[in-house]
Amino acid sequence: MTAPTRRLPVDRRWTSRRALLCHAVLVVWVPGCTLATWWQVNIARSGDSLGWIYSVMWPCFAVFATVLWWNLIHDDPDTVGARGLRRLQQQAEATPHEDEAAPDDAIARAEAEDAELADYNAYLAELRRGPDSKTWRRR
Amino acid sequence: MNDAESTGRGVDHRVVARRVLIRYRVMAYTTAVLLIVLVFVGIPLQVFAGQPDVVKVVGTLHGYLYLVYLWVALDLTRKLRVPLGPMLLVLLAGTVPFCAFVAERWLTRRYERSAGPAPDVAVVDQTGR
Repeated sequence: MTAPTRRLPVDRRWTSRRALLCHAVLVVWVPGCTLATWWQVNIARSGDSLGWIYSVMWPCFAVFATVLWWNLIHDDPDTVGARGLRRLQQQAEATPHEDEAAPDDAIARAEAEDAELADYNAYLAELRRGPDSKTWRRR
Repeated sequence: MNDAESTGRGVDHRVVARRVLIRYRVMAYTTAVLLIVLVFVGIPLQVFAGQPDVVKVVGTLHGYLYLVYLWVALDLTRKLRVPLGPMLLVLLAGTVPFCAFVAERWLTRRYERSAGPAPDVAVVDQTGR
């Protein structure tokens, strides 16, 4: 299915070189957006109503940057970037179509995990076999 | 990517739904054209002819559509596993005249390479990924 994800330990996820760079950019960007918002609010208050439109836009940029930052911090190092793409492609080619197997396999797998389901399926199978079967209570 | 898991059909990571690409391309062209109008029509009109109306309308429109562009560009670049540097360039391309066209070509090529002609693409599109 999906590639096994490898998460860095929390401390390294937040303190890797790349993460520190992300923090630094965010720490500059968000206050920058706040200043820009303030600047536009002042423009708007001094009479140019266009400023109101931009004073909504700048906080949106700050939110976007925060979402991007969060995404980058939580990247799976094994699957990110061009190298990750290549690795995933190799994996996909090595294990082709594992779940296009016969549906019976899927049922068997589900039954193995769930005894109640297995019982119920046996019961249905008995019913399907017809009224001649007298053994449907005894499994 | 979560969608791939929820369909449970063993969709591999190469396959990104075509609609993710299409909506990025729509937004790339939209913001690019608006930006060209803004820079090469609106700003000359404002500076040399004293008519700021085009800048006002197209400027705000571009500003907000650029937010949408950012969103769909982030979605596509992450699903295509574009490294951080090129991703930032793609995001910034919406603010430099003509650059969004270049980014759009580059990402489309990258999409075609990653998706390939695999029949999976059609299957995945139908399952509404």
